[in-house]
Amino acid sequence: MKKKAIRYAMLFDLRKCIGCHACAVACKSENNVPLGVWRSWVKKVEKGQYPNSKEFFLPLVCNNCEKPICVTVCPVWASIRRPDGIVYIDPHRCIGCRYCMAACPYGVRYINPLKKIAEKCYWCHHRVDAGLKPACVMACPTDAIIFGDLEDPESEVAKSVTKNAVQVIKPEIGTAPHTFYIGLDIAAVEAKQERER
Amino acid sequence: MKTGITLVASAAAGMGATQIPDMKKNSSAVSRTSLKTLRAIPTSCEQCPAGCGLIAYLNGERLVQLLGNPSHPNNQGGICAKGIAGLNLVNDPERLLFPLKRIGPRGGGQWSKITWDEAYSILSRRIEQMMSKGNLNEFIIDKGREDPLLERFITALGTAPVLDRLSLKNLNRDTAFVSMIESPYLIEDVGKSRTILNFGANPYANHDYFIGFARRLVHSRVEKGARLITFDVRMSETAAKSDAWYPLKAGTDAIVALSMARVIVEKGLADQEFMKKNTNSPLPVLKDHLSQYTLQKAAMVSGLRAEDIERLAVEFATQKPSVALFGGGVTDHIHGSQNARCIALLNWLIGNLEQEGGLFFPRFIEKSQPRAPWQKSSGPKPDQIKATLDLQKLGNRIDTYFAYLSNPAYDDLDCRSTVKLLKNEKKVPFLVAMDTHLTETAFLADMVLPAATYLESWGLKSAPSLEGVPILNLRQPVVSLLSTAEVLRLPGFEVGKLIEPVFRPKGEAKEIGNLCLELARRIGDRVSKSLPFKDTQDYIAQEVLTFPALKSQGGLKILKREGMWFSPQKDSRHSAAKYSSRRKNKVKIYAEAWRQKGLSPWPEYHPLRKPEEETEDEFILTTFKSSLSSKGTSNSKWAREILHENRLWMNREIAKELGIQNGDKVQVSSSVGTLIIRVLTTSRIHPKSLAIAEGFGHNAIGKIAKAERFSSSDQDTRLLWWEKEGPGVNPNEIIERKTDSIGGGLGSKDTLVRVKKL
Amino acid sequence: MDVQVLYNIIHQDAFGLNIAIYFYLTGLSAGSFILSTLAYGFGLEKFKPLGKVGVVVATIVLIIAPFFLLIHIGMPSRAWHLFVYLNMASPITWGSFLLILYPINCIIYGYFMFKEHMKLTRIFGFIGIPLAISVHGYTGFILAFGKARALWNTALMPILFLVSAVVSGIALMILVVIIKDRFFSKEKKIDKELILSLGKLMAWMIVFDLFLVASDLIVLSISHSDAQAAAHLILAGKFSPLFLIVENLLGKIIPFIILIVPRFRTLPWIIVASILVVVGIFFMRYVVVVGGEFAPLL
Ligand SMILES: Nc1nc2c(c(=O)[nH]1)N[C@H]1C(S)=C(S)[C@@H](COP(=O)(O)OP(=O)(O)OC[C@H]3O[C@@H](n4cnc5c(=O)[nH]c(N)nc54)[C@H](O)[C@@H]3O)O[C@H]1N2
Ligand SMILES: Nc1nc2c(c(=O)[nH]1)N[C@H]1C(S)=C(S)[C@@H](COP(=O)(O)OP(=O)(O)OC[C@H]3O[C@@H](n4cnc5c(=O)[nH]c(N)nc54)[C@H](O)[C@@H]3O)O[C@H]1N2
Ligand code: SF4
Ligand code: SF4
Ligand code: SF4
Ligand code: SF4
Ligand code: SF4
Ligand SMILES: [Mo]
Repeated sequence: MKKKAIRYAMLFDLRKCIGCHACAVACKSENNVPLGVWRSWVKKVEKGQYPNSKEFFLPLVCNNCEKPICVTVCPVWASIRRPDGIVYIDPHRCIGCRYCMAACPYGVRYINPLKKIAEKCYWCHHRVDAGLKPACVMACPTDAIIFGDLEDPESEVAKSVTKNAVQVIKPEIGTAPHTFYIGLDIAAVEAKQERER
Repeated sequence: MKTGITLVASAAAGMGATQIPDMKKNSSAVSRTSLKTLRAIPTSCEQCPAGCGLIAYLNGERLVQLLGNPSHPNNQGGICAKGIAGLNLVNDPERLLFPLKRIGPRGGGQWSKITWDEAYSILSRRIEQMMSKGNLNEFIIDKGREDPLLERFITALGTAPVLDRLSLKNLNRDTAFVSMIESPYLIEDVGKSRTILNFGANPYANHDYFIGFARRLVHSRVEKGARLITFDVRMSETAAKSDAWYPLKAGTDAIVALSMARVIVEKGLADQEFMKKNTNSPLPVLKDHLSQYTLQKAAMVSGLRAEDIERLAVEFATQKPSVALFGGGVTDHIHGSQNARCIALLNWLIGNLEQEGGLFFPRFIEKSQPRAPWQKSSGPKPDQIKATLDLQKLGNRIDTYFAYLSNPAYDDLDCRSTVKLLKNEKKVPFLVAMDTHLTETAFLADMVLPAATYLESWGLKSAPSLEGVPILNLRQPVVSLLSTAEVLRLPGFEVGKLIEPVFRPKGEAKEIGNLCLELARRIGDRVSKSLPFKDTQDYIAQEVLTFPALKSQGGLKILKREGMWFSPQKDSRHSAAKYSSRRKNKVKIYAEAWRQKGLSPWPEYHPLRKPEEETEDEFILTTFKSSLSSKGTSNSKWAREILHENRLWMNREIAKELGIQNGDKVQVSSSVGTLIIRVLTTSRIHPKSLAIAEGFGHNAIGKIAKAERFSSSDQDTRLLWWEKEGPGVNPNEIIERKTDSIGGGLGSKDTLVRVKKL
Repeated sequence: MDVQVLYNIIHQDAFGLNIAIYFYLTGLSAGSFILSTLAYGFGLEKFKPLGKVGVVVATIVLIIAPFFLLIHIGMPSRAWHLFVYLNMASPITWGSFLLILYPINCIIYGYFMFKEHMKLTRIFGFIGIPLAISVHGYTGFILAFGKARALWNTALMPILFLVSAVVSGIALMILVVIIKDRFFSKEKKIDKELILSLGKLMAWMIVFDLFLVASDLIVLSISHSDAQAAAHLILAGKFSPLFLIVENLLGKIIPFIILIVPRFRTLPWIIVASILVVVGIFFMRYVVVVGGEFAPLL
């Protein structure tokens, strides 16, 4: 049997997430992410009335979509989808036009205020290519983040995705996200903050 | 590409440390730009008492990443946000790097650089003077961190009074346990429990064993279906991710636990054999004592529902293994030690001692003389000084006040009074602060010394093991790797040094141990003969020799390679040898010693104040620790970026009644002062409680802590974007300085306050 | 249900003011160009005086417009990448060619017009019309590709942009013609006839524009929740003053009334109407671009 191509995926098991922000900080240090912009963060939402209150922790990263609109719109192929599914930005090619930012339905892209080019979570491809797990996966104190090859039935991520009812954020948009969640609450996704202007 | 962390990993496999399956994290890293494999050095974290195993990754000379050590049995590769942000502590452009002497008036902020030689002479001269006058009790040492050489130094000096900040928080817990089992604490085996009652601990965001503990709780809940029930006045991170949250009135945990105990006893669910054989309180007598704690009374006092309390009691006693654990929510009260005894009672009732999934004695690495684990009891000392201001009460004259990694001007309850005292040159003639930053306390000092961080220094500690396998943690320097040329220029150069990496703290920062060694040398024989070491590394090398098993397995070399070492001693926790067969001493539910002191010997509930004294408009102010704030992260850009401002949590319904909206500014006043703070209206707090996160509102330490943008060698400091939101407030400015009269620990969660809308 | 966001990250706006200005300018240019071709391409003699003014304005405005793009992009020195690494699926790629071809065509077209070479003028006029439509239409596609932005992600966007471009183009033409006639012509006399017919044309284009805006809004307000939120934002939320009052009332409805009520068909009133339109359409771009990305995505 021919070995299938690699298709990476990330899975957040929200039952295990304790909202500690370690993933967000690990990412800042791994990828030298400047202040004011984020490749990953943990959205926190409260719901309900005392004493029947709830709080949700929702870690967010780039979904490294199967049909990434950010790639479609990038005029210079600076954003590309690698065969293994990682959506990558070539820092030497990006012209900083921000179109990908405008098009991404998840708001995960930003312009690096120092380098003036677009950046986002790319599943730490420099580590993954060296056979290592992304920095946030390493950091997560409760193993709430699983990363691996979805096409390898032996991988933990493939097993978890088949074993559990997994969700993706905004499936209706049609970008086919490959960042999955266990225990996603729609209220946590949809809650919006009033912006101050 | 694998690092040498193999010995320990395989050792762990054989010792039950693999209870959490598939750690599957490896400990290497690559440079993002050059893709070179980075140098990985294992060490341990000291930013909180959990003491996680760390791997420090270096790109050339530079420390670039800190992640958890996958082989460490406690944290198993996990790490918290502060642990990673430790990078900001060492690389902070605002760090204190040179010894300073005050030039203007005290607190005026004018300094001149001095040499270490000058600093040593000033200190040693003052100590010698006090010694010659026999006034060493005028030399006050205020330590925010343990250090063995500092300990030796103090012991060698003789009578210097010590303010031990780290032990303060735990005094009430320690008192409670010592009164019952002669050991200051026990470890909850939550990774194997089925029912977990959590009274006022927040291990998903802080706690003494933080990450390792959170890992096990989460694992139990999600993989094994354990139930975690949290009692807390607010919805902590732990409460949010528990199976149920029971918001209760602050300070009423004891009566809830006692009424649960009553249910367990009355329904005949208690472990009769354990109670009879292993406690000093036969069930009938205990039943008598508990009869006053009816469900109705507990419900009325705590605000919980009687049915809930009863159901949870039954669940706890039947769905075993169970464990009742507690944290600052129980102990940080003026009746903290009694509160703790009441929670502990629940555990005794179900025979929970040296039980899988229950409680066990902490295991420590044995030195030359083997000791039973429970013999390692350093119970609380009743005459301990609890705050800088207590010195006045004791009538102590102060000559020199030495604060090491301690910041009383900020951390003391009612810290405005502490500031007043420290500013008074008559009462505190000479104030020295040794710290990594110009803290609020250092700002008032006459001399400031730059401290090495935990990433720049040597240490050896037997961390409380969550797996029952005693561990010895090594802390070794990982910052400022010297180049070969620099090594060749070192005084006392040895060829051996060329092979191993040599590190030196940034700037002129020094380890406290090295400061003590130099002072001892200058003071002379009386002190220096107790400190016969060249430097801290030499001390560690000699200390390692006192662990015979470690010595035979490779000593310091192996420690340096692995970052820690396991004792070959087996995990005795889950073995057949149960508590009953190993120990004659009975659990003293009835504390005769307390009775003799005129205290009530039974676990009892005492209200913060009599119900008839309560008024409508008062709230109980709670402080809590956020996952991102702590000692090392006050000036951390990454931690502060996520959380920079602390708001006053207020129940939404109450806020509505008071006409207060989310974001409004209010004035909060207690008997010691007032604060102005913005409100967070929320459904996640008890109506009679207000809560403020501690660790905010600094007016010193650095511009990041103060939320000010500035230019520096780090481009990020120009990008600081939360100036408008500001640095928050320091709740300690209005917290009353109360202590538990029995345990002596702080009653920091008992301040009554009123709120006024501005 | 009480829901409150306690912590979240919202990254900076992707497009913002610069892009709104850029879209506005390309719209003005396209509109002016199309007017210019009315006489020279379609032989509507009445509009002959617009020919030269139109092409000059169209060219100048289009040469200014890309500067706002260059300010906007992070790496202007890499702008040449746009011509080397071509992603034909991206509207920006279409745009980079249009932004080269269209002004060149404008210049050639203008050159022949000034040379009075009618046949070639006509040919380049006809070539220019699809280019002008594309140069502005593509900006509509840029927004329409913004999948998650309810205000953008509509097939109406390109046509909406074109119609408003023509509206603003006419208004600008009116103003430029008046200024030109009043200050720079030999007779110093304003061609009132021309202005009035331009006014009438503008009035009907405004009707068409309002129809499109209304269609868009009606569908938005019964569509999915994000779309409803977007409708709310411009009808009752933070952007409603700009959208309702500035863009539509001042920028379209009042000018329309001025233009169709005979009593107001005087030069001063038409000038007022044109100024209102020129400003109003700017805020139309602003509301669409900035308002469109105002709501957080998550
Ligand atoms: N991130 C982080 N971790 C830390 C530290 C840090 O500063 N930051 N510090 C370390 C240190 S020094 C210590 S001592 C430990 C402290 O660890 P803890 O003592 O466990 O922490 P606290 O946040 O003080 O209190 C825990 C909880 O008690 C709740 N509480 C308050 N009053 C009551 C009450 O009356 N009843 C009940 N049931 N709950 C109540 C609070 O809401 C809070 O959620 O953490 C250690 N770990
Ligand atoms: N209201 C309220 N107040 C409290 C508490 C509470 O629960 N509520 N908690 C109390 C408790 S439990 C504690 S333990 C105390 C804490 O009180 P302290 O022990 O005084 O803690 P900090 O001021 O946080 O830390 C002291 C200094 O250590 C420095 N530092 C940090 N990390 C390192 C390092 O690795 N190496 C070196 N060399 N220096 C370092 C920092 O610059 C900091 O200024 O606060 C107490 N205060
Ligand atoms: S590190 Fe893990 S537990 Fe912490 S917030 Fe991120 S996903 Fe959640
Ligand atoms: S989440 Fe956004 S940036 Fe990431 S691949 Fe999908 S569309 Fe692109
Ligand atoms: S900002 Fe960079 S990556 Fe994004 S679309 Fe433009 S060129 Fe492509
Ligand atoms: S995978 Fe890497 S880039 Fe993505 S969030 Fe995690 S650490 Fe950041
Ligand atoms: S819990 Fe965090 S701060 Fe505490 S020792 Fe572990 S990594 Fe360090
Ligand atoms: Mo503490």
